[in-house]
Amino acid sequence: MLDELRTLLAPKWLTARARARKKERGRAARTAILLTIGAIFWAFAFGLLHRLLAYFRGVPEIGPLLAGKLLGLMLVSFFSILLLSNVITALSSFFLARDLDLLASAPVDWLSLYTAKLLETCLNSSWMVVLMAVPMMTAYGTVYDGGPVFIVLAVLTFLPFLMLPAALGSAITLVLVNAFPARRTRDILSVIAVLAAAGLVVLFRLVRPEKLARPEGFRSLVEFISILRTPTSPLLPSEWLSRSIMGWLTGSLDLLPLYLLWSTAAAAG
Amino acid sequence: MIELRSLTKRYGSFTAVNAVDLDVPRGELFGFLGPNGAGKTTTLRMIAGILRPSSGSVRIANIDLAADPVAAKQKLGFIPDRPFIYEKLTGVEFLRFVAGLYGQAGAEVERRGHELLALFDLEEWRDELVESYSHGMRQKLIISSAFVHKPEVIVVDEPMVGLDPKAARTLKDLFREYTRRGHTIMMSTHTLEVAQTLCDRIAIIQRGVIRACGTMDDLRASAESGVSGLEDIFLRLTGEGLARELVEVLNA
Repeated sequence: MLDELRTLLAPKWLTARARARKKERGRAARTAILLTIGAIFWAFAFGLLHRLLAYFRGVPEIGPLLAGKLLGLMLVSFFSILLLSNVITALSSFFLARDLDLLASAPVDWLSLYTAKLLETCLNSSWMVVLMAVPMMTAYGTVYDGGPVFIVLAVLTFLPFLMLPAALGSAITLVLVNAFPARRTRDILSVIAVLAAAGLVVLFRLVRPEKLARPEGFRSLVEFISILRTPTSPLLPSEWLSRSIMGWLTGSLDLLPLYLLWSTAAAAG
Repeated sequence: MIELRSLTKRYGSFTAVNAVDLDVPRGELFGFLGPNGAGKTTTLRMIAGILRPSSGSVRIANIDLAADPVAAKQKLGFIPDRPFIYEKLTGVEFLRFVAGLYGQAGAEVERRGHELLALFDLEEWRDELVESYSHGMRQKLIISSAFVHKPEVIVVDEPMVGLDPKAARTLKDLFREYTRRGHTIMMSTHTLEVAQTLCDRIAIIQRGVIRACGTMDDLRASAESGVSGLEDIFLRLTGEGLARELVEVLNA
């Protein structure tokens, strides 16, 4: 299966290599501008988060809880972006890709073909979120002295976190394409957009961020802390990722969320 | 080598291919003719394993395509009517990729790739990206890719489209030599002259049903008296009244 996967994915990296080697006028300048903008964005995101987290770290008791809630909030946003992105990308890679006939007529096991398309979908829809996650995780790692192991843990937790929406998004697309004729792709995309917007609202309501901004709304500090301690959406992968990361950073690593991430990703894949 | 039994494909209430039975034995060059929308491409795509039949079966080299698709497709090379080639791959990279899909790699694939590219005058373009190829060159490359893994059966949809006269002649010679060596080729074409001169047997399909099948002599007999060429036979079997209808439309 690995050989088949390598063969099926070969055109993708050969295409990337050909694009990288292509000599175009003004390419160096464009690349430089892009890298500068990327570096500025990274520096800004890192600086902002670093300052906020450093302040949280100085607050006894509730500081780490607030940092955890903030991480959970960002990860819920990432998860919803990934889900929407995967649904749309899966439509292209599984149903509208021009290489499908070529690959379907070849003696390739269906599981290899599915896995190759899933990896393609995951890669195409996740790279931007990964780029956004780098300054975020770096800020958490530096403020809470995560050490080199934190980098390994971040990679280990992010991999299943990226695979889950890819598998889920592909499944949603499969159901939608079976419900609508393939030619009505635009209709499908409209439904996807409405569902995504609704999903985002539901996800934010699950997290209830406004409660955290108004501690005076709680009857006592104990209630506020207990709310902070309670997982807001324990069934969401973003919560598992947040708990794994914050567990390590606050010295109370719980392996259960990591197991949940990997076992669910394996089952979904 | 190719056996179709009651092969049927329905799209809702429309039946594109209706209970087609066909046998193409080893070493035969079989032509598949029919008007636009007759069901040729749908049939070929079912044989290639791209479309799943609504009912019926496809056997390639005695292997049931539905039961063991990987083994059946291993015996097959497919050239579609609208082929896809990755634009950012070079010609030789594309041939390597296709051979890899069939589990082949190494010096033998390299040698065959070079031979095929040379045969179709693509040798000097072998390391150029496909995006710089003309339509005809792409067609030659896709034909080369169908031969690179030496399949026992080749199914080809409209092989001559976009080819220059020299390449068309090369392809005809290649088809003849390939079948002479015991391989099987099934091709659909609109070029009746090609079918008449090249094919051992011909099937004519219309509205998803095989109207006639056999050698040129068999087809002449099916079309009854007064016809000699394949064009006459084709028109007699698939719509003799078209020319008359055209005159009526123009007069109206």
